[in-house]
Amino acid sequence: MNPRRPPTGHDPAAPRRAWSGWRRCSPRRCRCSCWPCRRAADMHPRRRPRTALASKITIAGMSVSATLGGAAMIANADAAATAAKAAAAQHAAATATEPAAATTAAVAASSDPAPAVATTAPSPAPSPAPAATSLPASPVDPAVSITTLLDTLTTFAQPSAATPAAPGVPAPPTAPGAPAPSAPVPTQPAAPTPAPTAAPAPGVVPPAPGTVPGATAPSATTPPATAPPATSPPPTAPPPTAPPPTAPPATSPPVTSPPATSPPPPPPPPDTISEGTS
Amino acid sequence: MSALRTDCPTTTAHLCCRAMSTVADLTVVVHPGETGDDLLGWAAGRLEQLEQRWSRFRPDSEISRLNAAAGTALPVSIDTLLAVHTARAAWLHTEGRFDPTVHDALLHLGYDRTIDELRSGTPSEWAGELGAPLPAPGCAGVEVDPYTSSVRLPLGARIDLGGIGKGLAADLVARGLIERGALGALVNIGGDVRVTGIPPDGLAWHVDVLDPRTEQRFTSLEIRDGGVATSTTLRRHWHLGDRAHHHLVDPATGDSTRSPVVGVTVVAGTAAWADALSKAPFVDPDHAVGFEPAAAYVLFADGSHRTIGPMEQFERTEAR
Repeated sequence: MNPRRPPTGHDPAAPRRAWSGWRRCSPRRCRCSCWPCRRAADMHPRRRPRTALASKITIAGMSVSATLGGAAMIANADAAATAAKAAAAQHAAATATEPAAATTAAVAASSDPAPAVATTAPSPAPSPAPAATSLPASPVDPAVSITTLLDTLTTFAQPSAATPAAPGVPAPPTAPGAPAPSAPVPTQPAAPTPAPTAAPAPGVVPPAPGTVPGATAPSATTPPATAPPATSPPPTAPPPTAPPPTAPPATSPPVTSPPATSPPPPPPPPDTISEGTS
Repeated sequence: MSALRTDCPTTTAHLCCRAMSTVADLTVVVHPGETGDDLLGWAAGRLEQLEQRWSRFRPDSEISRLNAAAGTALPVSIDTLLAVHTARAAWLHTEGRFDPTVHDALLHLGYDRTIDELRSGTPSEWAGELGAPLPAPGCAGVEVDPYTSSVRLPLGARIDLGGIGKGLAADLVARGLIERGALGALVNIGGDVRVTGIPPDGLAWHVDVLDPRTEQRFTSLEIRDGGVATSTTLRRHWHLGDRAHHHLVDPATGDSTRSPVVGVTVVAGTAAWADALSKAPFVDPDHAVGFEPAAAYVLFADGSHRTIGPMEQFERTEAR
């Protein structure tokens, strides 16, 4: 369309709104029969469903359909044509009843879910791609374009993976690779304090020679209650707290010795709990 | 409501409220100096709006209107359009193991009112009409048209969004919180959790998973962005006559599932999909259909469990 060409046959009385220059004439409202208006009307996405809008539907539909295993989708050709026809009819009805002042029908937030299709009117001048169509929005959400909606539908068309914690997250104290606090640590038993009463207490079984300090004596050797008095230890038995002349092997740590490190701290409280009441 | 963390330049605000017949737990991370109260207020209103649109227990909801007008295309909000679309996609993806058209089957099992009313002992109007369980018709004839924002259910099919509605609500509310300025958001609706954005510690969101058999922590997860959903047969159950039922229905039979699976926890990109996938193992414990790329724990009544997918990348190692 040549923008310099005068609007042949343009009738200012025919449009439902005041004439303000044919380049600004809204094809949604102008019912003038002049060629720019008719052409602009034909260029309107709601009036040419099988060209711009239909191809858009198909393109988006292929994407969605592919993700859904090729099932029959609303975006196939027939459904697209049907949808476009319905939209065109709806558009025509809306055009006939809309106030003449508005030139752009961006959807306002409304609680009415009725699909009063509203469009951003394209300029009758050389129009690029069809304008984005807005759909009715929820009361708390802004207007949603069909492109955004299709993107959202595609997002939810198949499962996706969650994002785990970043690799740079500092590992907790017991993360893999960190030394476990409960790992046996070969430690030299503390040197006993020589005491004059180094003899075993009454009832305490002195360890047999060669046993590892701290190890539980076999029950078979448990003496009866009439054990030798504390003042009469077996002459060959070492004091219970006296270490053997040589240090115990590194592979035989004291079983009952306390851990060298403190227990792991409890995990931080969770941000929430998933407990399955849905 | 707000608490400033000293180790992270953010503020965390919490809200716990009742929504969708369960408890909703919301957390937003905002800039220091902000309270997040306005965001939480918006979230609570949004949850109420979604419940109003999706609840099958509200006769004026969009889902109820769709169910009443099966065979006719009805204009719906974008929320409902997205919900039906997602539910149908999950039905396809799981090859029918998840099915939102179990509405009538649930009614036949006596689940014709909220779980709170069921537990209160109010007799069901269906109690005397129970015959054979009613298999679900499936979503093959469900039509979703984004260009006219309309949905048409085939004759004989009525839908119950149920858990996937809670999951999708968590997704939508979390996304809305981020769009409205929150740095991070956590939305937990009855165990369907969505986390996104910056967590309170700046590293990862920590989600504990409760073992429904013991009511103790089963594991703890670390997630940057995604959804977690847990389903169990041990919570939403009721008696009708001398038979015990729970809310997880096998679409093929129309009866409560009788498999040895008692709990499933799924980690996926969205809470809606996590919830939908969490239903499938109850129907078919032996085949993990459609789980890729999600991950899951499947808990059995005998105390054992198995893992599906890369769950280890979300686990805190000392949590087990």
